[in-house]
Amino acid sequence: MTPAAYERLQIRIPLTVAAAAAWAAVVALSDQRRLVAFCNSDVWPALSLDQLALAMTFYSPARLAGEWMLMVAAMMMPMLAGALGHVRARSLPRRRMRSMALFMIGYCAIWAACGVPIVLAVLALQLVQSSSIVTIALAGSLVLVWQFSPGKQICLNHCHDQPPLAAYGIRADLAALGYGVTQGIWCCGACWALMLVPLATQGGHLPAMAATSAFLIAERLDKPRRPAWEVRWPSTAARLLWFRLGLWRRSESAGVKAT
Amino acid sequence: MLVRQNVWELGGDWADPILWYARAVGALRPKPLNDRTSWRFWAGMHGYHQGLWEFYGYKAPAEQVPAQADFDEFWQQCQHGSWYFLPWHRGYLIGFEKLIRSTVVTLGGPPDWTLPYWNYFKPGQDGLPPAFGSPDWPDGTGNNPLFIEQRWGPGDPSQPGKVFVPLDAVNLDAMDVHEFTGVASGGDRGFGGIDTGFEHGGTKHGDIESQPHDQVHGLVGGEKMFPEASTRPLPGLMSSPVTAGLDPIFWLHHANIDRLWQSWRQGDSQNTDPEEASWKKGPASLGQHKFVVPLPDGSPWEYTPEQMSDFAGVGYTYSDFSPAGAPLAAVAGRTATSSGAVAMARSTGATVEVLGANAQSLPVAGKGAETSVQLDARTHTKVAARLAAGPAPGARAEQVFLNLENVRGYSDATVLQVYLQFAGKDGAPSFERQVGSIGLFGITKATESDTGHAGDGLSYALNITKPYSEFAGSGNADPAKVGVRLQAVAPVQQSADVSVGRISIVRQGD
Repeated sequence: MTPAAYERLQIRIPLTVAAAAAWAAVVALSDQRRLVAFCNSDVWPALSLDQLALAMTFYSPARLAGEWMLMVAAMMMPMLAGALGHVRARSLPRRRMRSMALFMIGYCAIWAACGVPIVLAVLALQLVQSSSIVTIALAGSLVLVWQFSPGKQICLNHCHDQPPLAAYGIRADLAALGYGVTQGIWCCGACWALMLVPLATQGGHLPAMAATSAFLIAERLDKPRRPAWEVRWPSTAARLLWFRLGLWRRSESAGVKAT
Repeated sequence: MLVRQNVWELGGDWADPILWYARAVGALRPKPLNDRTSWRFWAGMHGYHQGLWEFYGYKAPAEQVPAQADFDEFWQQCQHGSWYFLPWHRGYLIGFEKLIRSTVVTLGGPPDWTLPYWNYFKPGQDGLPPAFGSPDWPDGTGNNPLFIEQRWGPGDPSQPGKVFVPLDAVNLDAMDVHEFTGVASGGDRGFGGIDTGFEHGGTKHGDIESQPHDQVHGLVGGEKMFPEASTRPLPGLMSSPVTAGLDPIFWLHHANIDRLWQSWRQGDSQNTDPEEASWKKGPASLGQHKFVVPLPDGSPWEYTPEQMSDFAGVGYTYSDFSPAGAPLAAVAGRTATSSGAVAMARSTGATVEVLGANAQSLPVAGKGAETSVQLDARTHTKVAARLAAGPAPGARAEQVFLNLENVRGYSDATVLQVYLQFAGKDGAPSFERQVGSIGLFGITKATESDTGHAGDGLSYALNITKPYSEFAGSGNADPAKVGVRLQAVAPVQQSADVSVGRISIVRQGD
């Protein structure tokens, strides 16, 4: 193993363990989860204030928020290795844990705040039309438009940011916290549309969440590129799969022949 | 076996290999941009910038770049800030040499033509080889294709012609590093660079890439102000990755870097190339761009680092492997790893920790800049004790690195000499040591965030173990802080907005 790969593992292993724990909790609680049921409740197509009040008696906001953050933890943890590794590498040894904790607080605070508009967006889709097909079409269109927009690419590019971080005192704390906040903002920007998919999928929610998570990780593997309106897909992951399946052998033998 | 010769020792300024090189360059230059065997197509494979190419007259505004398929397959491939730096450039040189040789033969020249190398370290050979500095052919007629106007050197660009490599700004320290690849967190990056995927503009250059490769690019190319075009200085061709391949001297510089790679491997039995499949099979094995260049008939030749690592199989050798042109010490026998075994790099698992950092971003303009690094007392005491005691048997040696992080700006030609200043305690005089230099080759691209980069700039790691050890062991030095002085080889324009985001000192060891 190379020295740099070893360093990456030091960050990836705890993040993978944390993500796995979050996934286990999501699966274990899948029968009791309220967030997806809340987003897909029959109440929304025929909304009235009385019904909303009634609905809220069944759905505790704290519990909904908890489930949201669990979902975020399961899906986003694997993508934080680069940023957390940067915080760790740039911090004095005695401040490492503190700086990484501050980064996580800033990052999670943004995702917690973004949960409200994202859930509201799902509800708005439910309100517009009662037919599930139309809801899926609307959500799908929204996701596709954002996926292919320059805005999405700008967010993805900034997810790779590794700015200078102060080392001492309150400036170090603020730098770590601020880095977490900005990474949270860019990450929400990159992921918000695709997060609608598992939220709007009541039947098969877990597979939809897993597929979305895999897609988000795959598109993060691509290098930053010039923002533009264009059809994009996670090409690095696709080619990696192609190579791992052994299809690269043909091109390699062609290369040797050319020599 | 073809032998690449020292350009200064060919038997004259316009010895046959140089004359044929010039004729071949002259033949390839007028070819269309989208012809796979044209001079400019090959330069575009290294890097491309529409504005600079058009401003310097290497592309007409109406001229078409290669078709999308060719552009995507061949162009903008150069690997920097990556452990693929050396093998990608070796394949690029091999393909280029084949093209030039084929052209030389077409022109009636020798079939064994080889690319010369420029060893600027050898005494008396730090100047640009004369055939490259004259606008005329040896018979006095103009239009020598080896002469490049946009090659301003380290001096005053209004007085061109004095192109040389100042020897106090370059060194061969990388040759003493025994691991090919290293860490990305501030310690040693290894001789060949850190383990990455396809990196057309990585931000953390490996040791031989950082020194002397980057410096020579900037020192030869230089930069010049063109007020009618930009408020910022524009790079000479060699100074930027997006134009470097247009300059005929580029290939002689890279032949020397390629020679140093093999010299490193022969210099010590510990010096071996990576065994990891991701290095040997190249970035294609990671789902990324493959390494491919056209052969003289235009057909694509794909190559892997593994093929490039097999020096006996590449089909050429060098007339001299001594790094600076001085005789080599006795070459130790190669120690082969057992078949299929991956040799674990010695620094794998090493502890890398920040020992101190400066307070804020440091702007660099004019002659340079200064700052100070505040040291963490506890870590400094630990490092000082380890340096004084030396490594325990079997343990890693304690090493200290100066990191210049998030260096941003718009001056690829800038080379900054780096000095450490140790303040005296109780009235003792301070003392200063030069600890190396950094070349900002590739900085513009690493700064711009709208070109598909994060825009965080380049980062450098200089080994300062020796001067730091001296400082740590001195009872007369103030252990609270260390001064850092950056001295520009050529003045840095204010408009270039060069800055160092943070300067830190990092320890690496057990």
